Amino acid sequence: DRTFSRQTPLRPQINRDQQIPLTVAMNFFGAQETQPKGPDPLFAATSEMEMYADLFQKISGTCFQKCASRKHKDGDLALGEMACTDRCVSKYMEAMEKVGAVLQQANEQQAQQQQNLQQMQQSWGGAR
Amino acid sequence: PNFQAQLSPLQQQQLMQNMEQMQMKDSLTMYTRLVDRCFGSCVTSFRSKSLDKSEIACAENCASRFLKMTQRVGLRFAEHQAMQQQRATAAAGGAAVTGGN
Repeated sequence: DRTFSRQTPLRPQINRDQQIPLTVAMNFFGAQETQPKGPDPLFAATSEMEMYADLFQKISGTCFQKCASRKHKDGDLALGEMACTDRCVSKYMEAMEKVGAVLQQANEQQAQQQQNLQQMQQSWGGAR
Repeated sequence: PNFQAQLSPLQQQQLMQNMEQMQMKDSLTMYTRLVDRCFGSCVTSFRSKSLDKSEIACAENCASRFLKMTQRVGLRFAEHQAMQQQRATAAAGGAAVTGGN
């Protein structure tokens, strides 16, 4: 079950749901794997790390823009600015979850549509 | 977290290496980004070729404040991630082994 609110936010969708049945079928029949394998796990892990780094950068930048006064009269953050930072991070993460949920729904819908299309094509092929 | 757990030890090593490279590149780009940011907010007039005292102070303060904010964001970010992981393992059925991902 892949609800975004439970897992790490914005986990990249790789449409594994579509690739798994294909490889299972191929292994079952002992077919040669002429198809390209799924995404390289090392690449996936590296991409995920890069995503977190990018996310961190974005949060820092955005919250600095929104919370820190541009006058920079002092070298330290004021108490209000620090409180603002905490709230900014919290809201940002929550926004991520909400947006992620919408994104995931769209992905599921698309996967469902593709599956329907595949089934239709198969049934047409059988009728011939 | 999720992808990392599926890697072999050799791949994990490779991942660490990739991360180190990425961090090195990141620190360079962070530098130029910070300069751009502080220049943008502090330097607004061009009557002279060099920065005046207030602009220098502003730029230094800006850099210092941004770094402090980055630290704070890092703390909150890590807290949030830990909380989320806790929620995930709790939801998956608390009997699971805690720690290590």
